[in-house]
Amino acid sequence: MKFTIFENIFTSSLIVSIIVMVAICVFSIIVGKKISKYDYREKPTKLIMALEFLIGTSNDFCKTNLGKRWKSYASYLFVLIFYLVIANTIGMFGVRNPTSGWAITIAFSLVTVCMIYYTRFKERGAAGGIKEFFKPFAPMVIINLISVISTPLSMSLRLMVNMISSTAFAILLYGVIGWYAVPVAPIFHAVFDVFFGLIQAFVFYLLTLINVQQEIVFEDEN
Amino acid sequence: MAEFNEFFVQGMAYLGAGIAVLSGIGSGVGQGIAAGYGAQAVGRQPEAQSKIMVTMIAGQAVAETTGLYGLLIAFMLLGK
Repeated sequence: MKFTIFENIFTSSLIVSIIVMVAICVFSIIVGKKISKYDYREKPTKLIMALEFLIGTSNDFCKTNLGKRWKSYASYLFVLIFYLVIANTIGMFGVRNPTSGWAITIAFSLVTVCMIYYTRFKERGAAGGIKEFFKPFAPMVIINLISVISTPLSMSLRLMVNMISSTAFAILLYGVIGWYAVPVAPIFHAVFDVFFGLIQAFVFYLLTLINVQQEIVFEDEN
Repeated sequence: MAEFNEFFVQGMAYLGAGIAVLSGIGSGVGQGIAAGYGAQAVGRQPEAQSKIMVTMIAGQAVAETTGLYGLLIAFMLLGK
């Protein structure tokens, strides 16, 4: 028995990812136009209250952790977690998850690595940034250079394997049992797709934020 | 002695896939110990329960990574 993960061009992870990105763009443009004409004295609608809560929570989290220049990171981080929440749970609807392809998660991880090293060199200057590699003692340069490769590899593999395991178990469940899996299917999708998907989206967001926080120089207030 | 044809390679690949998933022992033990310390912390201070639970879930999701590396190798071996 040859076990392959089903690869049809119309449900391939890249096509679903493009569809999710176009949907988020259209949603953001429409809501942005509606909010720009919005009078703050009227009673807010539910959509605006929900968006204020979500964006406010993410911005507060960035403000407490990222110091003075939190605004330049906060917008990317909110869109990241918004995309990841949709992309991880869309596997429930019969299409292949965007994040279950390694190409997409390694792209997000490379953006994270670029953010980390851009922050390091911007906060300390070019010479200080290179000296940071030698920081606790001189032979640690090997381990610091390895973590340039191991950080994006572990972040992308964590996200990809969590999502691909839910796809693989769904294939086994529906392939072997067939229509008798219908009573079990809601619990299965609730655990594997929704629960693990939301947790892995939050963990990716948190790891990006904490890795950037390690590179920022905080001035002490006293 | 059997000859080394492609059925031998395929059988050995399945065996290797089964052994590779044994790396899940480490992640299971580690996450269980983390959950034990989390429960102890909630018992010590019940009003911080939601913060403790968020921290514990985030820590467990990071610790699960090395157990998942074994699952990835098992999928790659099953495909051969």
